[in-house]
Amino acid sequence: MKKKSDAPLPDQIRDKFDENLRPEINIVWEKSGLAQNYSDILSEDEIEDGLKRVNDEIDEAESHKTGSNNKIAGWIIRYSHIAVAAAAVIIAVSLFLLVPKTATVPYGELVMLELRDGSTIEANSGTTIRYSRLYPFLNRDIELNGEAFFSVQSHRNPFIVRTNGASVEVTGTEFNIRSWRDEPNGRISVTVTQGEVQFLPHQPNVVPVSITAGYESRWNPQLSKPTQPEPVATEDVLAWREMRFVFRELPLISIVQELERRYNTTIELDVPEAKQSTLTAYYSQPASIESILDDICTVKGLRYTQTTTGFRIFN
Amino acid sequence: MNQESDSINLLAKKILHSDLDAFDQLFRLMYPRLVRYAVRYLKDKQLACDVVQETFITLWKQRKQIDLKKSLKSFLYHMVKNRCLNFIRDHEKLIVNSDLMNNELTYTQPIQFSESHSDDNELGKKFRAWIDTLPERQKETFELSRFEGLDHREIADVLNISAKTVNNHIVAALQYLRNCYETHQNEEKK
Repeated sequence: MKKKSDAPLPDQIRDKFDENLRPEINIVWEKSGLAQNYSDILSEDEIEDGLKRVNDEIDEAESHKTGSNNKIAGWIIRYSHIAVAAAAVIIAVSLFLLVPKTATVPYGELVMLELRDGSTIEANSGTTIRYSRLYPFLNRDIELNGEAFFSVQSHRNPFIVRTNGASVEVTGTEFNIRSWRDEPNGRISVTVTQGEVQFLPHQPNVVPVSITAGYESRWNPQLSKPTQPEPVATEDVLAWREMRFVFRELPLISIVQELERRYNTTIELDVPEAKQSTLTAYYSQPASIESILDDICTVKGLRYTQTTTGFRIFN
Repeated sequence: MNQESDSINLLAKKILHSDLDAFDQLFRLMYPRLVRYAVRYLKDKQLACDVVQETFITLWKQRKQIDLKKSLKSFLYHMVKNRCLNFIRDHEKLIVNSDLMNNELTYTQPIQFSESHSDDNELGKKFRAWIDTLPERQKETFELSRFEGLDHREIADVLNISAKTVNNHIVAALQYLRNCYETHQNEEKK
């Protein structure tokens, strides 16, 4: 083997020195090669021994590569972080799906919701409706506060409306529920226009009442069971769907709340004794709030005035 | 690249295609030199052997990534150097507390010069001592150029500096060695 210390002085180094210095530098370069005094620190045997160890290591590494056990272990290690990420995504999606959808109808507006199974919910101003994002696959449970008209399509899951302490269960029908949490006595009215529903207050020992088309039943927490269904003019009950008003012997306080929601305004009723006095009125076409207040005040012998936020009714 | 580097890169091409014979050939050619180079950093022959063997194992495992456009020789020196420095970093305390720091270690190897060149033997020792007093960078470049047969481009790759800087270091080293040699000769004459 050629000895490396015999290598000549590279040109680019030599060129850096003055012409007259070059012979001397050449000698220094040549002699410095003598300093490589440990060039043979490894014997032939030591080199072969090193090579054998390297080859053994390589053989072992290569056989590991093809071993199926290690392949699977490697696969698990390599993809474990992907599995963790996937699990996190699944958990996030499930949490998202478990949080129900909530729809609140702004004051002054009516909203129609069309659900995935073709059922529709028409909701009056100020109504809140809540249902599962998995509707209708797990269940068809609807939470209601307010007034809404339901048109329910047939489905293997029963359609259940849960509202302020009672539920109404159906499989395929049309009905109206009026159930405002702030209504005096917490009255709930269920009116059926097509098919049949089960009206079930959430209280022990209360027998559900079956309501058929054209009938209405009411219930409040003071009653041991819902009222016997009575025939009712359903078009009057559903007048709100056309922005009309039909007040049948309704307490003044309820009428005021209704007006507040429909016209998105505030009405102060400064006549405590008038709150429970009932009123019957029909508006066959959408009317202005002033004309309705005019009528109420005329009938009840009251006055009203406009305020910065809405209206005030007084004696 | 110089002639030897060219033939090494010919081996590299075969190794890239998983030719184990070419790998053995490269090992026999470069192992002693790389061990000697590693001893410079580790001051221990056995440690140096281990580091260089690991370097070769890694080279084989990563043979598919060998860049044929670059000098495999300087790549090997570069890998060995990095591994030595990593080893020192990871075992700093160990080395400080042991005899491994003993710089005299390299001289404990029997020097293999023939009887008839006893003068050369003496001069070699002198040169060795002078080289060891060079600034680190100059010493490094000079040794790679003089003893390892690397060209400027290859040294530049190993040390991550420019070829021009390599040349400057070697020139400075030679100037210093010339002064030493001159002084030494004048003393001999007296």
